[in-house]
Amino acid sequence: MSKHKIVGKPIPRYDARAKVTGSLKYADDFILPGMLYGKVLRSIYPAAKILSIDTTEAKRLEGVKAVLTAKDVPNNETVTRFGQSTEVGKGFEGLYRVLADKKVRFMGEAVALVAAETEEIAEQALDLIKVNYEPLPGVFDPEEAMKPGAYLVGESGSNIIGEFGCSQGDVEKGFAESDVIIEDTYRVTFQDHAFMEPESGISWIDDYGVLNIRVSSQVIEHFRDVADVLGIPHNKVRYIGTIMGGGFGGKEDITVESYLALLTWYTKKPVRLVYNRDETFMCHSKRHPFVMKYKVGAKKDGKLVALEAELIGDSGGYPYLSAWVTLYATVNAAGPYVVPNVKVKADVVLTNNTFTSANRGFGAPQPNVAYESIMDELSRKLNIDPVEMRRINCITTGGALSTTGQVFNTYVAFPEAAEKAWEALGEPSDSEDENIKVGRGLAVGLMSYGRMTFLHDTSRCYVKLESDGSVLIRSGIPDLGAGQISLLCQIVAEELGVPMSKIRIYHSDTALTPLAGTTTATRQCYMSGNATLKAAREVRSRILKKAVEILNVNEGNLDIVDENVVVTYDPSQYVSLNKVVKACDTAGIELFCEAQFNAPFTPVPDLSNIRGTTHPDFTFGAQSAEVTVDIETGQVKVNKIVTCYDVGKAINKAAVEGQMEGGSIYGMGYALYEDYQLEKGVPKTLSFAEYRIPSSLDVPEVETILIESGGGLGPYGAKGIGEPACSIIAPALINAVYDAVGVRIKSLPITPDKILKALKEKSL
Amino acid sequence: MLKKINKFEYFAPSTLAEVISLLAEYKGKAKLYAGGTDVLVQMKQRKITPEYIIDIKKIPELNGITYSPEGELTIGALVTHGQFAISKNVPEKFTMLKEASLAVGSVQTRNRGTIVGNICTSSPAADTPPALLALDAGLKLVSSTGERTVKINDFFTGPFKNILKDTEIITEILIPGLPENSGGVYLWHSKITEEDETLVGVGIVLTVDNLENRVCTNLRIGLGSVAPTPMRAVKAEDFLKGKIVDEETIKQTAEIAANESLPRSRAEYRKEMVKVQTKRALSQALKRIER
Repeated sequence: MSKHKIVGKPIPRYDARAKVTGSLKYADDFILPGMLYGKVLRSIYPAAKILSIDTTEAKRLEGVKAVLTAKDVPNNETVTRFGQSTEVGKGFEGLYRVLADKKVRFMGEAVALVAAETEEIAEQALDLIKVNYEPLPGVFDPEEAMKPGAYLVGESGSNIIGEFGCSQGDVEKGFAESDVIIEDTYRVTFQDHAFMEPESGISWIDDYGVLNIRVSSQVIEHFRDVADVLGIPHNKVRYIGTIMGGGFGGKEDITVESYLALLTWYTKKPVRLVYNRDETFMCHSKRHPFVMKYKVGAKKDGKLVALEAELIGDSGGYPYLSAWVTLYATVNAAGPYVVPNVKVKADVVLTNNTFTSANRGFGAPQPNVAYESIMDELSRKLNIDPVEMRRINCITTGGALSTTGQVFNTYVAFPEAAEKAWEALGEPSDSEDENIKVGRGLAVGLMSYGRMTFLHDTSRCYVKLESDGSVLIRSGIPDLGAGQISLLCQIVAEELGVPMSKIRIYHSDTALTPLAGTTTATRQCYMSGNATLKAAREVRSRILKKAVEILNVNEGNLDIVDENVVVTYDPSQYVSLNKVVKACDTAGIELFCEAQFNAPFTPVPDLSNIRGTTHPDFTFGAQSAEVTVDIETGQVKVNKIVTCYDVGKAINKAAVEGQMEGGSIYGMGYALYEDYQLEKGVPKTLSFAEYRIPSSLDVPEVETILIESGGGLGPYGAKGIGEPACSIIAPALINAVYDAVGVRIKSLPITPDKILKALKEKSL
Repeated sequence: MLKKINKFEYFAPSTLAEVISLLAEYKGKAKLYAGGTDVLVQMKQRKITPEYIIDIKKIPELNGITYSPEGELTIGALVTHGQFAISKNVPEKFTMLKEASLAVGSVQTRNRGTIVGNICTSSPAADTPPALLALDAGLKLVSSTGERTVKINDFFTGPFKNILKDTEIITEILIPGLPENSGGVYLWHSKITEEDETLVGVGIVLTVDNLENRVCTNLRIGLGSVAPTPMRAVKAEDFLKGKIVDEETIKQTAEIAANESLPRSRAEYRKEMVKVQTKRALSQALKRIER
């Protein structure tokens, strides 16, 4: 192909105008005649036996149309899926329970559902449901929960729901050969997704008896799971996904949909359900807290010799995607480093805390905090420059992950990313105040894009060139605000030589759009981008073949530019796209195509020693930061963040930079502020007043540096960036704080209290 | 869990006389409403369920900032934090109250919420009370049976509790003039992020005899968020009075203030911050006198 026309440019997104002007309809903007309001009664204990539920009075209240409990759910217990069509087994598919039955596993667990004529009546009805609980002791610390004799969260004999491992070489021998060994424990805490749009949806039964759910969801494939809950055929449930006001993994599991489905199925009426802010904080998943025990050995010259890691993740009350997240953490445990001797063991454990599941980064950011803190410590101990330390140890093109041995045959952006991120910090800032110390930190990392290859991932897309030259795309792709639908439009605009304004996309509708898979795992650019490219190129090739007849020029010398098929070596020779389309229509040539893209497929690995390919590919990057620390107050201010990733090819440069800037701030919040606090399973931070995320006043200058190696598996050589973008900044900030004041914070968030305490201990 | 706001009857009187007669009539069942930044949240949380809302925004006499020839500043009940912070009627010596007003919430809440409302809510973490304590402000309380003026030091009785009767309205804040060689500062320390609740607020008015001797003749320290109510650090005040204000005495005063504070959560850190911020505020107050 010749040089790109629209790919690579920073263009306004397809959905930008509607969002900015407020005309875009989100999931809670829909109302239907005769609609009822749904509400969920939630457990007031983190661990309890349900002795009885009395709904008599609630049902008697005027205006109440349904009160449902576990016994009303046709299939109250199924398994957690996230859109995959393959059954993996090995404990990956955990229990999904719609309504609490007999036992409560976390505070806020759904116990009963109400549908009523008004929201006020529904709230009143909740107050009238009498639940007789017998509080149980519960367990709230994953390390405690692992011990024999611990309180059992679920119904099985152990709280451990996933065990993973991988190894190469001999770590004992490696440590014996090491000149310096660092051994430490790092802790990271719960992080909320803090999306602006709460979980919302509306459901109704259509003329054909099909249950329709219009919902804010990253996974419209849940229509199958909802059908299974109701015990009806899959083709009797239709999901219509709305453009989301943020997801970050928090709308990857089922949220309101099962409740909506049940209430509509019982009342035969439309039902609307929107969570309150405190309800959303309490009732959706969080990022997994991990306890990470690391031991790393290196030679005097900085070369890594051995790495041993033991990870323990807190799954909260239910499994959801904990096993998958822990697998990611295992694969990522040694980072992008060449280490001859590696041993990783990871467990994930049920507790009576709020459940944990997918959160942007999906198990990559946690170990990154540990291994990059250690790399910084090693470079200081050995007196080696932090960039040099990465130069010595990072994998390069042709190298392999030290955990699984997965080989990278395309460009690995090390040490380039580390060098660029460090260089871009520029000259260090001065401090005139003796209490204010300046420090700088560097971290590198990697994260996969595309799903685990043993899930056998696919995506489909339909592209149609209309007889007037406008274009229609149909793709099941959910858009969580990162520009997913816009990207597909841009690819089609590039291939068919039409402006973005002439493209219309229908998306995320399980009845009408070909399924494109989930908007998770940083997979849509790669998977649906490729499916769309395949479909668009097929239509393009049919156009060009017809144009060959008209222009009498070889197909290889033709391109479609600004709605004309032009001869590349002589642009004065051309025919309008419209004319070619008409010629095709007359000749009965199909100007539409539905294409499918398949990721590489691998078998399910041995989970006790994961070896070989687990993911299609990884995105590599580095981040650096400059901070100031007030040594009297411990307060940290971030002066500057640099974010540098090999994105393969930035299809929409503005969108990619947006992801990298937003990702940096998402990770900065994780590092410095965000702390979903629980006291014995009772959540304490249920509003944005208590759960603090960075505001514009906290956000520093963020410099983005794109490396465009073209080595990605996505369209035009693109890699995924959505999740990698937030997965490296936290340790860069930890390392910068250390550089400023000489104390290392080993548990997130880095609070001023911790810094001050550490400074005091240091001066003793 | 948050709930829909309960049903209520809404009044929007145009005179103070109507307000106090409504308060007398619906004793205990009515809630005064100005900016609504606290009232609406409390209603959603069902902490309060008033049957009557008395919106006082349409009473012009309650909205004003006046500076008298005697040097006294009067702030009406409808003056918002945002309005006060940019007011040209406020002489420079009262800058510390502008600083405290700017520490409240976000731009949006500052532009809706009133200073008097901030006092009425009586949150231990409120920003304007420590500054007003240092300024020795008075509050004018009016009801259908008469009016009284109380010092803000006598107003708060506990977290979210005060002496205001359910028939009374605070119509204005009265701030007495400051003596020669006085300097005031409000410093605040946020809980987590830049725009956040106050973890420690320190308001200080320092008076010295003259710039040569720098003997402290008067000192008032108001502390926020470190006790069940906004409080005066009386021991620290007494310590510095009569002493020469220098680096050493400032340090000692700050330590005494920290010791008399009574924080509960993050107690160790909060006490330390009372020390740091009191020290910094005293040094800055001295600089302001010199200027």
